[in-house]
Amino acid sequence: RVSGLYTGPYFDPSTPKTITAQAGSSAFLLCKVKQLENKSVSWVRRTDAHILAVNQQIFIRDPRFHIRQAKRDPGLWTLQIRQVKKSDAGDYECQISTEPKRSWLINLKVVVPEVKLIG
Amino acid sequence: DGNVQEPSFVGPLKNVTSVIKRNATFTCMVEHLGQYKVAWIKADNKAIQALHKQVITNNNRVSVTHTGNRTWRLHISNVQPSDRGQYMCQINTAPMKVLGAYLDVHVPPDIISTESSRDISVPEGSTKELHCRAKGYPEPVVKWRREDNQDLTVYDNKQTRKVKEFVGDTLVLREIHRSEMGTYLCIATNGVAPTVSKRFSVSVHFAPTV
Repeated sequence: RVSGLYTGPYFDPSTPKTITAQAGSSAFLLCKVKQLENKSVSWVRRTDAHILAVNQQIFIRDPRFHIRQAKRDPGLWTLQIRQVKKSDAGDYECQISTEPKRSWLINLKVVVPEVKLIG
Repeated sequence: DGNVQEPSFVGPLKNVTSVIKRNATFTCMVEHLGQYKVAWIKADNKAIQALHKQVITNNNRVSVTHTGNRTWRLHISNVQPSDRGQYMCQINTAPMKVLGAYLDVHVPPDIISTESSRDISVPEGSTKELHCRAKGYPEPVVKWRREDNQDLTVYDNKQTRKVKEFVGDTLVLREIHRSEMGTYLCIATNGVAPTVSKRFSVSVHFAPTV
């Protein structure tokens, strides 16, 4: 099913641009791609340009990173970061390998639960 | 296994300067790569170029080759100004190891006709400017000369000076004299071959004297 609106791959504009996760839990960064055809979907961490994954293949050697692809919606790619840390906060890029590339930026916010002693 | 060494780079990634339409190659030297992988990314726009032996970008001018597990190359053919920038060779150790180097793309000078003057024909005593606009990378230097190698008359601080050549993209022919009639050359250079030039014919007409 090809939409007449765009040629080639594009991002579903409803994809959230900000994700907030609590430290210690999993962060799920979604990337919704339409009309991917034969192009690749990759993830890059913007802060240090670290390549995280290309398609299903994880490049970063950090066991907390996973790629989830929904069986029922192959256009939905999810980068899962387990046991998220404060230092994981920042911009992540979902990238389609067109020329020039297309990208969707997601800002990950990590909140640390505060414990206040009252009294 | 305590004997297995982590991969590391052998030497730096060298900056590359190429000329438009030619090729460019970055060489990333690695030892003890083992089961780790090498990837290439363009640092400024974060465009992934290749992951190990596989090209990721759909830019068909990009390719990768490797010699054993040690020498990993990123090739860019028919380089374009848009290819300029920092490139990174990454190894997926934890934390990642990375080297960066710059690709510069030179462009030989070219004189832009539409932004330059044409031949002129003017009465003696008038003032006329000749423009010669050049593009290229690095920015070309434009200079003027007379084809017959006679001096040019230039003015600065209201002083008249005779010079063999004048540097600048605008040559002012002030209160032009009949002796200044002839062919002028504008020459654009930027250190990238070939140098280009354009000829301007300047004719000066004057009333007949008896």
